[in-house]
Amino acid sequence: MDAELAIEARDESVGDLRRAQAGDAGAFERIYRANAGKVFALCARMTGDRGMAEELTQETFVKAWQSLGSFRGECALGSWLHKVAANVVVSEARSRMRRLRMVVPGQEPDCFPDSRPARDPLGSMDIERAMAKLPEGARTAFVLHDVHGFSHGEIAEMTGQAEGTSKAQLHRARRLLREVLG
Amino acid sequence: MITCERADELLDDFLNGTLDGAAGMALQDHLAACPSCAEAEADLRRLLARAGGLPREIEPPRDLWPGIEGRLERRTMPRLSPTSRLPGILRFAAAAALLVALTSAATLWLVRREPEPVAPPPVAWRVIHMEAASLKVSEPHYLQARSELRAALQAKRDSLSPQTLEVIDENLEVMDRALRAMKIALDKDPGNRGLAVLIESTYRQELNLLMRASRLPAKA
Repeated sequence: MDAELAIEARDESVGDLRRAQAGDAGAFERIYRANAGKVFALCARMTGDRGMAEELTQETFVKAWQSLGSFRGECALGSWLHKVAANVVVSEARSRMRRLRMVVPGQEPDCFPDSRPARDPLGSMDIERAMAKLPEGARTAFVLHDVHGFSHGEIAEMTGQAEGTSKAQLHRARRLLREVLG
Repeated sequence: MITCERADELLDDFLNGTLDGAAGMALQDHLAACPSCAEAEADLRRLLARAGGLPREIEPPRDLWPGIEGRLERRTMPRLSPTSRLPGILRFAAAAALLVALTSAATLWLVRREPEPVAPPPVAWRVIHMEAASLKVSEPHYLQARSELRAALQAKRDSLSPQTLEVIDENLEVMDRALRAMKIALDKDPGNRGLAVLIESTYRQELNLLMRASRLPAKA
């Protein structure tokens, strides 16, 4: 793609954003088409469940549509959508945890909670599957920080936890993954 | 000499580049002398390289749009776009700020990811190439907008408090210094796309600051 085409593509994206902010659902669909893969990837990795990720991706775009008018371009549209998605996933996880705690009170385990992935010293084990088996807090920190590049400050803002908690969860996730991935 | 336990605690910050000099040197001394911790460091670097190499996009297994479209509330009153209330030059700058919104993800991606992903995300990768190639085209526009916004700020200086002006001037100076240094570096290494992206990003930050400054209310 040469520079002229690139600028044209950017202008089209800016135009779609402005049209969607003015209520044009067609322009918003183009924004969806351009960003669905990124949002779905984040939701799938944060939940470890692709079925749930489909629902949360839809929820993310509905929320984005509702608050698109307040988007002022302080960050990239893709980053903003990522933040909306992370908030949607974290909110869903919180309400799920609340429901669970009503039945079984307890703390998150400091290990792989269900079937522990077999150690794979040759590195052929799918890192995606290993991430999916991490405890939820550790998975959130690892996916947001090490896969999608958010800072601890941004993660703290999204999850409503202290930066120190995000760092501790990341340390735990890295330790657990190193154990199984070698 | 630090302990293995302490070395384990410091490794994350070390690899994130956030460990200060003395602690960093202590850790490096420890890693040079302790094969077990050195192996842990190598494992962690491999893990981060694998995580950084994962694709940023995964296509949903089905088209999710129909389920979204049905839930969109109709907006009968079109919202004002962030630029519609601004006079001419501010609209230009706001458009530049909107460009930030659409392109700085690539910048962030480039800056944050030290080990280059094995399979970089196709869209972000294209955007980085786009930006590097387009600096020559876009720079005159940034410079023009900057000059006009600076003139607008100059005309408004008397209405702003000294403390506010100090903060604005300090930030502008930092950005100017950074721009000068990056442009000298780019002259020496014209093919460095990362520098071109950073220069564009800094221009956009500067325009954003100038635009915000020109919107500040007058001192009481």
